[in-house]
Formats: sequence, C-alpha cells, structure tokens
Amino acid sequence: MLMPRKVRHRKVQRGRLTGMAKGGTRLAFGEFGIQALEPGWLTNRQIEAARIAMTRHIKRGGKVWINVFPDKPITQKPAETRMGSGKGNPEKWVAVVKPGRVLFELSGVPEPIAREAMRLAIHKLPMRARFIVREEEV
Amino acid sequence: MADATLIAERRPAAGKGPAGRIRREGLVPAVVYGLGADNVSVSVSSRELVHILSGGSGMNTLITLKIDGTDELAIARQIQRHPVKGSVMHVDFVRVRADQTIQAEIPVHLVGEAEGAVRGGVLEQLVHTLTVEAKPSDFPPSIEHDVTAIEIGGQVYVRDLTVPAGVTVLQNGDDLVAQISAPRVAEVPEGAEGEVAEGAVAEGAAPPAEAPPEE
Repeated sequence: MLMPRKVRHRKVQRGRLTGMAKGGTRLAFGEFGIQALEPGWLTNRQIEAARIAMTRHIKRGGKVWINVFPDKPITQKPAETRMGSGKGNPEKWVAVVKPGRVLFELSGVPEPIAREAMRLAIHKLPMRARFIVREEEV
Repeated sequence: MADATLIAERRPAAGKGPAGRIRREGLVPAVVYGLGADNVSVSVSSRELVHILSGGSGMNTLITLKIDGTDELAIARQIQRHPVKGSVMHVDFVRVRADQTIQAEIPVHLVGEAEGAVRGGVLEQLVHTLTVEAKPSDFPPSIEHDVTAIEIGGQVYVRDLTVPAGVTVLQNGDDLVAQISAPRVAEVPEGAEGEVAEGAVAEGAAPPAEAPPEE
C-alpha cells in the first residue's frame, strides 16, 4: 500500500480542507479519469481498493495512473483511553483531496469499459467523484 | 485557420470583487497584451468566447478583438478554468501580427485502429499536443497520424508526424508520441486463491501493523 518511505515529522496537525484544488485538475496522462467533487481525506486503503476494483474490471490491457499520494499521517488514540497523555499513535496515511482534483487516470481501454471500471472505483472513495474524458481544451 | 470576431469592453475595475460581478453578468474578464503595446483589461462574452474556442481551430483560432472601435488581431492563451465546473474564468489574449511567426500547441490525434491493438496490444499515446511555430494563419486545427499499420512493439516518434507546409515542429524528433505495448497479464486471476489474497488487502481484513517510518 502507498505510504512514504520516511518522513520528517511522524505526527502532523490536521489542517483545513477549504477551497478548490490548485493543480492536478485536468487529465495529464490518460484518456479517462476520476475527478473529486468534494473535499476529503483519501486513505491509502481506499486508493488501493479503488485501484484493485479498476484493474479487475479491465482485466487485461489498459494502464492506470494514481495521481494522489497519501503523505499525511493520521493519529488515533486507542479505544477506551482517558483524554490526555499526549497525541495518539499514527494509524493511517491519507492524501488531502480538494474538489477538482483528478485522482486516477486510465487509458488503453474502450470508453464503456473505462466508465464501468471507474464507476466501481468511485464506490470505494469517501467523497463524491465523477468520470471525466479527455477533450479538446475549451 | 478560421477567423473570428469578438467584441471586448474595457473594464476599469480590477480585483476579484469586480471580476466576480463581471462573471455573474455572463462575461469573462480578460487581458490583452503583446507586441510592445500597453496591457488592456477587458471583458468578453463567455458564450461567444466558448463558441469561438470550440470551433474548428480550437484554442489557436485567430481572433479579431474589437476594443473601443479599434481592431486588434489576437490569439487566446492561458485560459483559466474553474476546477470543477470547467467554466472559463479568465483569458489572456496575446496580440499577434499576421506576418510574424508564433508558437502554439497543436493537438495530436491518432486515427485508425492499430494492427497491434487488434491483436491485443495496448495503444498508449504519450504526447497529446505538439509545440510548433508558424504564422498565425498557418496553424492546422490538429495533426493527425494514421496508426493502422503499427504492430505490437511499434512506436511513433515526433519525426514521423506529417505537418503542413509553413509549420515548424519545435519538439525533439526523438520524443515518443505513441507506442503499442504487449498486453498486460491480468493482475488477479479469477480463481479463488487470487480473490482471497487481494481481497484481504482491499477490505483491510487483516490490517498490517503499519509502523510509522523513522524520522
């Protein structure tokens, strides 16, 4: 599963999820893509689940790109623990996603197959997202 | 290249407040610059602009801007879009002269069904636009390349593309435009073993102890 090899700080603050994506809002590599429509944290498990859903549906052929990387550690306190005693342990890794961000790209398969593969993948994501197709720039 | 006319009105107020009001009126804030003349802040009709840019010549349509009764020849550059809605939020118009060459990005289209793709290979297009230099009226709407004869393992380079006379390609001829790679074997066989192995990862049934990386 995707996670950083090493980090400068093991625990980070949560941050805010305001505004729109500043970059990565257009297809860069493939013909088809999944674009987030809401902000959210995308865990490495969700990314992996979506990737598997997609690659299983397209079976053979095609190429998948993952455009987001889960580089933010999220901590959690153990269950039934009293408050205090410092910040919890890092439990998962997330990618911070803002509306407009292209999460996955796909090419080398016909559009109906890509559409269905990405529909299955969107069901693994924690935010609303849509299927997009490369078009001439307008 | 098709020519189009667009009426532009000067906008005195700058900043996101006035720009937002302009957009709500169905206009797009824009700026005109180039050829050593002063920059002019203008607004143009969003509907007409999209209509022009979605025409045959696309982004490289030569536009005659009518600003306060004077005509300026320009090309749309640096189009800013809303990340989700995709609507045009701002446009840069660069003044051009009909007799001077300029650079532009031309879309590359692969036509035909490749022989290798029919046999199970995967056609990958790596370059979607080509940087070229030409006079504004010489730009083709797109560059098309027939890939019908390409087998598995076959490649198309920039030097293989045919461009019209008067157009100079600025990209390296050795850049790979497209290739047909051998079919990828399915990652997970439909058998039970594969299902269990990958299912565990996907569902998180057996969460691996994820030690945080060292500082």
